[in-house]
Amino acid sequence: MLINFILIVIVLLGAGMFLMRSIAKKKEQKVEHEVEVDDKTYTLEKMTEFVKKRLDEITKINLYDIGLSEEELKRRKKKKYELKKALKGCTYGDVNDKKYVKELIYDLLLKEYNVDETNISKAIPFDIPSLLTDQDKFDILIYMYKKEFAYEALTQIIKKYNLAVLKYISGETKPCYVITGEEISDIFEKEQMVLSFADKLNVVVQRIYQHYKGYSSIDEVRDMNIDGVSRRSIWTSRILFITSCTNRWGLLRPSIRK
Amino acid sequence: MAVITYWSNSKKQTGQTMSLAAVATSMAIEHNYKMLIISTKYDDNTLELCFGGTEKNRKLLKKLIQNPTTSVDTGIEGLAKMANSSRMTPETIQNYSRVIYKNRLEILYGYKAEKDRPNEEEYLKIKNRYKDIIQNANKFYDMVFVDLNSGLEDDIVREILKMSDVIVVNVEQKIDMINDFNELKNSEELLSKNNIILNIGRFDHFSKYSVKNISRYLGIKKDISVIPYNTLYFEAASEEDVADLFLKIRKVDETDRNANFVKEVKQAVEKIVYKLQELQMRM
Repeated sequence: MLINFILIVIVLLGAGMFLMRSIAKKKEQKVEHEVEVDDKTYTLEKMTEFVKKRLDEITKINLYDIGLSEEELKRRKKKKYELKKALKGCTYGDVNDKKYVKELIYDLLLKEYNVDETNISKAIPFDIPSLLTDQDKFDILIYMYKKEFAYEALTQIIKKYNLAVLKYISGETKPCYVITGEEISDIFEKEQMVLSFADKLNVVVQRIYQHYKGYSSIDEVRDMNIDGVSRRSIWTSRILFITSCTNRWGLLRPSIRK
Repeated sequence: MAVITYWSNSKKQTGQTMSLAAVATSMAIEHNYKMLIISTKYDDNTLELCFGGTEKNRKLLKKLIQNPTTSVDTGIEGLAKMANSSRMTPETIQNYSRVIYKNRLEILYGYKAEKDRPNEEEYLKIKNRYKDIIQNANKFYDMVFVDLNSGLEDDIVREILKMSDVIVVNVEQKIDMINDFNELKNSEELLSKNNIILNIGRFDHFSKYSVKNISRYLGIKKDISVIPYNTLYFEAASEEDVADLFLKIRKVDETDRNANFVKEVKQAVEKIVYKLQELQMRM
């Protein structure tokens, strides 16, 4: 009888201690893993990796595990479905889906990845124009023009700087319509644009987006109202391009890039 | 179906949000309407203190699971994102709101500023979407209560007032505020229409500025409502307990000290319903 009682007490004490330890352990665990900061943390590659991981987590979370109420579960499910739909839709080039996903990436970088005025320059060196690549300069240019002219941005740049002229480039026998890296650098210098932090982050977000879900370097170009790569109206650009000549995007060709 | 906007011209505390919370909660209990409360204020947590915030659940979630991979797009911020990308539909609004009484009352909290980070640009982006959000919500809910920023300087405030079916103008129980309302009513086109109800928050029955005296002074017969100061209500409004309180004091005795508060809130509700019916008849 006594042995039974002692055994019960021992078992109960053991179970109690195990429970206490597991609760204490859980309390000690850091709930949200903070972003480990080193030299490479704020590079475009690391940021893209983070965005991919987070969006993957958000879309794959099992909502039944969280123990939500019926109504809350229904709403969360719908929101998750919306996000999934947007992530799928943006790969087909849907402009609204793209906007939505870009807004999400913007929030993730700002609120979770703690991107700020100082560390954003590690991704794209906005403060030192000499370190900017042609792609960086073009991205900044197109973003700033897009703010003002929306989908007419590229047309405006081409018109303003008279870029739609036949040019001979080295190694080519035929003249062609091409916008070279030098031209973009010249325009960038002439424009003397002042970017706010939100502008800078938007440029970074676009760069991450175009490699993650978009159409790489032509992602922004194809949204514009231009002929050739555009999925939009071609009316505006018919006057700029002559169909008998080769139209080329110098920026898109690695051989022309610096 | 109907947008009811609570607004005040003064930056002083007029009890606007508290009046809105009381009227909307009471209406949700007394009438079978599907309603939504939208707050357009910047970093104001009065409504969260009334009905319970979203942060509480998040903390609980963090305790329950190690890696709370919850969606980032909650509340008004998430909805503004949907609106910015032209993905918002009347049905999507309910996914971002918080339920107070199922199928009756829901709430969409206003923008919460984050510490150590500039928020003005983000708020401006969201503010520009309030009109869209209210318009869409109006298609899905029977009634949309809007807790609007004070003053008339902001164009968005004017636009929201313009699209409102009923405007509840909140004033303090002071003569200068009542005079100010009178002047505004005569000078401002937005407030000279027939869809205005004057509301006095934190009302004191023993003051000489009683409903009778004010209505005589302003020449308004019936479009005045009052929300008296009530200890229980103001306590509940700081303890996230308003929804429960209204269920408890719903049928109080006439001798109960809260009876007057309940009666006045019910009257304020009826005035809004009556006003809406009156406006519908005219149309």
